[in-house]
Order: sequence, then C-alpha cells, then structure tokens
Amino acid sequence: MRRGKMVAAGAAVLLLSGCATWSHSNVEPAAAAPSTAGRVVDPASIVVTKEDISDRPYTVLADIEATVNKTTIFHPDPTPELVNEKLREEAANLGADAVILVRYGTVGVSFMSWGSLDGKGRAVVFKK
Amino acid sequence: MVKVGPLFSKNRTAAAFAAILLAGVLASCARPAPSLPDAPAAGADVQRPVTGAVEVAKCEQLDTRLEMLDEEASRLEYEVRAKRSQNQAAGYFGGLFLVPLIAIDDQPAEKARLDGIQVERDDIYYEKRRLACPARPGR
Repeated sequence: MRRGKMVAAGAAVLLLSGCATWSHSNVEPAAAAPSTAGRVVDPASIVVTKEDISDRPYTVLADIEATVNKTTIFHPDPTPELVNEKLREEAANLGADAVILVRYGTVGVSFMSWGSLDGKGRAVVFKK
Repeated sequence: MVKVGPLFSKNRTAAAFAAILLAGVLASCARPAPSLPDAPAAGADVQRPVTGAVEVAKCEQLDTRLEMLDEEASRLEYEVRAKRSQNQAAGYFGGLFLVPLIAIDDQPAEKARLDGIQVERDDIYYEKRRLACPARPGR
C-alpha cells in the first residue's frame, strides 16, 4: 500500500516537473523548391513574421505546420512563442532564411492534449 | 426478482466516462491555424521600387487597414483567451455533474471572424507584394 502511494507520488512529480509541452510538425515542400542541401542555418537567425516580405525577392521552400501541446492538464497553455520556436527549428532544417505569413489557431482541447496551439508559416530563402 | 445492480453500475461508469469525454471535447476546442494562401508562382517576384504617388497612397491605405484588422484580431483573441478558463472549469465540472456543460461557450462567431480576418490580411499581403510596398514601420 505504502509502495503504491510512493509510486503514484513519483509519477505525479514526474508529470508535473517534466516537459511542459510536446510538439509535432508537418512540412510540405513547395513544387520546384530550390535545393538547400548542406546549408547550415542557426534557428535563432531566422526571421519569423506574420506578414509577407514584399520588398525583397524570395523563393518558397515549404509550408510548415507546427502544433504545440501541453503535457498535462496542470501545465500552462502553449504560447505563439513556442510555436515560433518549432517553426524556426523546421525552417532551419530546410535551410530557410525566414518564415513568413505566420498565423496561429486558438488554444483549446484537441484529441491529443488538454491544450493545443497550432501554427502555420511559409519557409522562404532570399534571392541573392 | 430482476437483478439490476451490476448492470446499472456498469452503465453508470460508461455514462460517466462518456460525459467526461464529451466535456473534454466541448471545453473549448482548439481552432486550427487558418490555411496559408497559394504560394506565388516562380518568377512572380516584384522587384521594382514603389515610386508613383498613387502606389504610395495605396500602400498607406493597405497598412492602415492592416492596423485595423490587427486591433480587431487582438480584441477577439483576448476575448477567446479570457473565456478559456471559464470553459475549462465548466468542462471539468461538466464531466462530473453534466449541468455545468451549459456554461461552455465555444465562441464560434469570434473564431470564424478570426479566420475571416486572416483571409483579408492575406489579400492585403498579396496586394502589397504586387505593388512592392515597403514593410510596415516597426515590423
């Protein structure tokens, strides 16, 4: 009985102190996207904007969708900043310079979590 | 004599489980991010600078409209966020007692308007790109 309580308490501590969020993403490469293989990009250097970049030519690499979920009902809701972080990660993997036209859903219950926030953006590389 | 005890108890457990599931689903569903607009065709980049007075005025008008849409979206997002705690509480208690479920307001009108705002923003971004408007100040 006492051991059972200890296991339950341990599990609760793990749940509450572990990762506050987890995420998944989906990348849809653009048709005829240029090859950026081998291009190393620091995620922190990637521009993330809700708007289009209208004064600088670019080429579309892919459309990215990222969803951040809170781990348990007790964790705080995911924020747009966390979605941006995930979009940056995926864009860096693609060798992109920016993620444009970023938009977010609304935090709410999904089949996967008590608090999910969805975001989408377009990974682009600037023309030299 | 009809034995209803165990059967009733089983049904009750199933009903409670279904109610909790329903409450979870109804406790303010997540709204997915609006779809991205179509990607521009290759070679469709506009590279000429904005020079004409008409184009400059048009760019300013578009920026003003964007500011208005931003303000409206911020207000709606605040309203949806503010209701989330209430919806969650109603959902959790609704799972146990069902009655609080009527307190849940999923705000479909606000969420639909947020989607509509994004469509209008995308149209403006397209027009700004076509005119090669400069970025909005402070963006």
